[in-house]
Amino acid sequence: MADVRSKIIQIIATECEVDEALIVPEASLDDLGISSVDLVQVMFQIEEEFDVYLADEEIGADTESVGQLLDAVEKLIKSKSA
Amino acid sequence: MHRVVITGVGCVSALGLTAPAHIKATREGVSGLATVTAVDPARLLCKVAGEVKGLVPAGHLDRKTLNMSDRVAVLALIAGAEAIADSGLSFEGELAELTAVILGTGVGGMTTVDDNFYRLYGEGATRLPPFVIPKLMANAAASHITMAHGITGPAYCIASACSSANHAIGTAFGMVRSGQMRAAVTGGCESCITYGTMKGWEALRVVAPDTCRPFSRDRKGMILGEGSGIVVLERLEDAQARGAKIYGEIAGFGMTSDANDLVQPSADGAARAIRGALRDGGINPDEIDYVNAHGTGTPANDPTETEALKRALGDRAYEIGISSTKSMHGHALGAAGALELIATLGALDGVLPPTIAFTEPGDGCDLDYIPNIARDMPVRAAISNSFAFGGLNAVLALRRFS
Repeated sequence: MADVRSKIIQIIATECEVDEALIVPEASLDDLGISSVDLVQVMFQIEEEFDVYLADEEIGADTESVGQLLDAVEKLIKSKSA
Repeated sequence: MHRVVITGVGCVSALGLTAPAHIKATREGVSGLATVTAVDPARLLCKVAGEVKGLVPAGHLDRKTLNMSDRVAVLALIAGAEAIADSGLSFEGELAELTAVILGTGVGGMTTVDDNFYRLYGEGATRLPPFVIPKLMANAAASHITMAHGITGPAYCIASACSSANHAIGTAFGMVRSGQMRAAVTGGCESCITYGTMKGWEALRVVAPDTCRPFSRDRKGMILGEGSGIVVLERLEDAQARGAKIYGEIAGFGMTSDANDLVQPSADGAARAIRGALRDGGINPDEIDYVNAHGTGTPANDPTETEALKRALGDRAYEIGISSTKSMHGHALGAAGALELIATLGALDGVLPPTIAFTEPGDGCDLDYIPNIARDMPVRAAISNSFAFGGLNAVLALRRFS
């Protein structure tokens, strides 16, 4: 799953033009300057990369930190491969 | 009522990436028409288009803006930035609120529609990228210009097919003339050289397989173009007070509907629009020295437009230079009137652009179409015609400012 996490961090860095080193689980999306529109773009790229569907209940307006995002995607990928 | 002048010009077309390049090419009789590159030409019967060439959007716009923009908005943003920089205006305080952004576009973000719907229907994709809707919406180009320049007055796009840009410029002219607005950023934009659109035009059987020869006997139709032309309009007194360069005066605007046929042109509707523009601008036909024709090069348009000019201008129609610059930049649909207004500014500056690829006059085409070679000549006043599918006619009347 380390691969998944680093890939997601890469996607956030590219889509939101944020330095990868700052994208740590504790970081809040707000502090990184990631808007809800940026997040929509990130979600699309994650879906494309991992062939998953991110429902609004999993990621969306309530997602506040990078960690929440990473956990949600990991959980989804695990349940898909189970 | 205020007099309204043009103080900034920007253009991206098949003839060049700036307004001076566009005007220079129209004077030199350069053809911007070539085998299409955006679509595999092997799949087309009509393989020629007037594409914008050599544009590097990343050199003009940041990644975030590009992500959110269809090609049509990219072209408008680049032409808009040139026009605004050229005018020397910056939109702060009251001027920001009293400036309008009114653009014409025929179909909006068609590249986005074509590419993304192909993913769904053709490739069986189950999801689309998030910004399909904000990229395809027809008003996007006007909105992008407000955001790029901090313009907070009214902003919207006008859709009337091939007359969109003239309707937009005429509407903006009215806003500034009445005193409702102090300035306007206006013009048109279009970029729909996609497989779907090219096949659609092909099906109408109005596209030439070779090139666009307006008013010639052997003309075979129009050639699709793309681009954006943007101008900055200001009240004359404001422009003079700040010592701005004045390219010309918009004196009048005429618009009519044929109420006749969705695709067949009408000499009556066109003539009424020309007369309306002259009446609105207080211009006598004898003052007109140049006409930038709609001149699509289709069998139907050219003799109908010729007849309309005779009805509206009387004997003066036989004495003046008339050209279709579509022979060079193609028919840019919702941007057409804007590309042609900018060509007309070149005429007001003393060089009438030619109709290129002209061979011999077609039946019913017996006026002076400035065949193939530009003409040096002082111009007092000019008109620029746009006649759209839907029977929607819009004519701008301009005066040289001196």
